[in-house]
Amino acid sequence: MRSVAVAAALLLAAASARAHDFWIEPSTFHPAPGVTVAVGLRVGQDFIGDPVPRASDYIASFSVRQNGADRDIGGTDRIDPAGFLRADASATAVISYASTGAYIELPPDAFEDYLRLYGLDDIVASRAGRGERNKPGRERFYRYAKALLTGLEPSASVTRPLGLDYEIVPDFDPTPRLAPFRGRVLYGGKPLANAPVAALLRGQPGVHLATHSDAQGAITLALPCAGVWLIKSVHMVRASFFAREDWDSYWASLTFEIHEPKPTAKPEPKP
Amino acid sequence: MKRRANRAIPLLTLLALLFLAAPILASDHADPTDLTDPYANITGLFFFPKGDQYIMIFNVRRSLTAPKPYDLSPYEYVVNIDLTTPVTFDKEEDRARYGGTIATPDKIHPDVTFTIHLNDDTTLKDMNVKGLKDPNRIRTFFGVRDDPFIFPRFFNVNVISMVMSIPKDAFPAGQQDFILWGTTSKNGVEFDHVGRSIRTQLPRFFWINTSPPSEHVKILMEKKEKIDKVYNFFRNNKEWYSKAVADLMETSFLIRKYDLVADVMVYTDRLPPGYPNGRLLTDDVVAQTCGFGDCLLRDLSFIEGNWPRATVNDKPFLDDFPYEAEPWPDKAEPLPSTNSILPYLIGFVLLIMIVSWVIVEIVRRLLVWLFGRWRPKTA
Repeated sequence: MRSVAVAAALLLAAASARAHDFWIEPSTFHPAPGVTVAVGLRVGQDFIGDPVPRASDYIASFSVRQNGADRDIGGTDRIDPAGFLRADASATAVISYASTGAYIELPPDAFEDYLRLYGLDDIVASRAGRGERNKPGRERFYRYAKALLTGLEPSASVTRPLGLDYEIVPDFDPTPRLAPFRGRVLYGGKPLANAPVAALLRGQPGVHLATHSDAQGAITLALPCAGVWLIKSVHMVRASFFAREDWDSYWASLTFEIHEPKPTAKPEPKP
Repeated sequence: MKRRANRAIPLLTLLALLFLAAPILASDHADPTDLTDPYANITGLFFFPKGDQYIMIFNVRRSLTAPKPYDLSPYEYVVNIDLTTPVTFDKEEDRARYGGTIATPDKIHPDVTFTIHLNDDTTLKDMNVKGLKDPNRIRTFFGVRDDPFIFPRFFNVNVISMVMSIPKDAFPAGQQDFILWGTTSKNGVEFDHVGRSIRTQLPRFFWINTSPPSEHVKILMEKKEKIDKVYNFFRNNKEWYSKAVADLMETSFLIRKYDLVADVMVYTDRLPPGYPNGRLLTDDVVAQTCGFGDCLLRDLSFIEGNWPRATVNDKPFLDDFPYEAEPWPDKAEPLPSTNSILPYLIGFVLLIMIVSWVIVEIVRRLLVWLFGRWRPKTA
């Protein structure tokens, strides 16, 4: 009975995972000190997502780093939001979520469509080279989501890797002001070259920036305006020989809000 | 398999009861469970405007029917008002459930404090008011009145009531928003707390009964994390009885996503008065609280009351000060039960010990017998 339930959950997860992004959406990106922040998980496309209730069995880690300390984020299973934290807010905090792997199997055409949609043309080519184009896509996907909660001060911890298998690490705290987003894409803690990276703006589905990491894993995205941004990337590798799946995919996301610059008071014209 | 599962039920039930025991014991300090210190038990906090006055009513001592004198000397009754921590009213859910949103709950503090001591005949011994202009203009009443709570269990009984009519101009000019809470203490030890009605009465909130509102969210967060872990454990096991324990926890003990709020009463002149914007004497808070998720007391009002459910008090309120109805006549209070569960618990523990000893003795004798049967025979 349990295996049926697990299979059903995986099918559900798989269905929602198919060509879908995953990110963290807190109740506020700029909490006041002492405020309770509800940490929602979202799955969707174009930065429009459905709530993902907490499911402990599929959580590898779910924590917040604030004021130099890491703390697990608790929550109630089957309930959205998936977790709660009490904001310190003295400096920018980093929320992170890592999932356990989930298996998915897609028909050949659907799998290739999804690979192309996410810029994974090298995997399409690899499947063709292996003579697998007519085989179903068998994949295990892992999700690594991060979100930044703006604090009273920028935080250097934003620029440090959290040790996730796949993550986007900013070069500086991007939350205080509008500036080109610069960061690194790390896979297994090491810079990953040529990783597809995209940036989406909440409420503006037409805003879609895309780039690839350079040889040092570095990325630059010229964010055009303030608002809530989702930076995302996916990386796929061949699974090990004994694995049930053929491919392992790693999904990284980073959400944060850049504040609108406060209008400066214009001096009164002199009479 | 089924038999094995059935054998596990008592064990799991015992575990669950052990887990739940803390709230049950600790809820002594709040309605509706029995009290060890009844004069420290808060039964209601009301706040509403009346002309150029604010009316504040603070009631204690549930189910009072006994005649005076009472043992009130050791007790201190305090009502606090925070006038400066910002409250906003733009979130509909918070407004409906709590009267408003307090963005910085850890900053809640008393700007105005009423500290009251009563004589054993319920007359005022002394009252110290801090933070108000000219507190001598406050009109007061201290004495026994009908319990205004619209709830069958507390019909036909009285409370000890402290009523204050406070001139609006005693507060700072332009004051619109108020955050209130009340406490009782005995010999300097806090016993009970009231903020928004029907919060600390619920089992899942007993944790905050003796803490200042500025610490409530922190405490609730910590408890939620622990309780969630236990709940998630039971919820994610395949056995039906494990899920049944999770179901039991979900309705009564799980701290909910909307619970992480300090327990205070919010009142604002910006909105019409009435629960949860302050509280009027006529508010049917049991029904209103059920409307946003907590129906425990409404269930009880159906279980203990008659059809149709009472939605008004058992005595009409007065139009004039002190507004609460006259008290019910004195009568002897029911004697507390003399039965005790302790002998049963001791018997249960003894039974477990005897059964354990028998099992160990059987195993020991079996091992001795096997050793004697199979040991190498020497010539």
